[in-house]
Amino acid sequence: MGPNGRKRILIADDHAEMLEEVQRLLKEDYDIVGVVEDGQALVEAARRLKPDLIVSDITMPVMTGFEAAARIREAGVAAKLIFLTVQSSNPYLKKARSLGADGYVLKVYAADQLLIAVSTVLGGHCYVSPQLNREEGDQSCLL
Amino acid sequence: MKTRILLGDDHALILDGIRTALQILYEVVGQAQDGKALVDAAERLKPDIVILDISMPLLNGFEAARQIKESRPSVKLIFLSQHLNPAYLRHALKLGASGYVLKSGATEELQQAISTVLRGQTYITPAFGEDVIGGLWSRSGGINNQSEGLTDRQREILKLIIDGKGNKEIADVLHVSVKTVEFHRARLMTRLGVKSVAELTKVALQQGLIPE
Repeated sequence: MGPNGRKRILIADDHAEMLEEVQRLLKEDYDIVGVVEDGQALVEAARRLKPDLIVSDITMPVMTGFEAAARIREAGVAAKLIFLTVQSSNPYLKKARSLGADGYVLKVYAADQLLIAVSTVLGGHCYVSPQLNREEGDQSCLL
Repeated sequence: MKTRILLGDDHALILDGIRTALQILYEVVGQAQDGKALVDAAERLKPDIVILDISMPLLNGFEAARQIKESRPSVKLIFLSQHLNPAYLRHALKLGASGYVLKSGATEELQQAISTVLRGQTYITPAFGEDVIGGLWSRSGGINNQSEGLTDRQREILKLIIDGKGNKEIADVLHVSVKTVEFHRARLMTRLGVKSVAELTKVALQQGLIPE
């Protein structure tokens, strides 16, 4: 937690406008402690800043969000993790889960769902965009 | 005529409890145990008020609320949740909810919420405290900041999407990256609350966002 008692969030996306949008959505309720534009920078920032939560894109240069997440976990950083992505297919969701992600939000629904996802994940639960293609019968993380 | 109420909650015991408490004063026209069934029931039964949980299978309460409001804007929504989470409260209000009550509260609170809502006012459980409730209306942009105007770039892209251009074509025309176009497309859809290009076109024409 930050000095003002607010949770600290690190954001990663290689698209500057999306970074701005995410900051705009979260900054009223949270401290944005870092903003990075590739996976390598994300790993470094996560180790250095030890945020409470990471919101990361998947498709990024140098190193993908998936690779970065694996390294962050290896490094023992305990931050919660939400992937914010355009990838709506089930294999991506499965991979994200296998990497220990707590949340998975589709970018098209960011304005509606990101704050909900962040507060749900920081509350110790998981969140997955309800619009995502799931496996038959998968009812997990629907709030 | 009695006020017609529809209930949505995945716990049968809670549904039964509420039904028993409410049916003296109101007509409980139906109950659903998942979000999809609730949306269908709202369509079919045309209730005056829908009382719904946030955590429900198939479709969560927020998404169910959005769909119900889309097809019947006049319906009143009261969220009944176990979460005392300010982000959930703000989101519920943004979706047009008229009430937010805690499950741990007594059924008297729900009764009070219903009568407040029937008077055309909003009921928020006092459990949130004055800071949260007072803060709802002072936050930048207020609770309804969906109607901000579009930027020039968004209007350009909107026009091209409606003309049937793909992301790559739009990117070429405007000399920007495909990712930028994807971003603006996503942003436009969210801001206008639509999920398909057909809906986007309809809303854009209705709201006069682009010349016909």
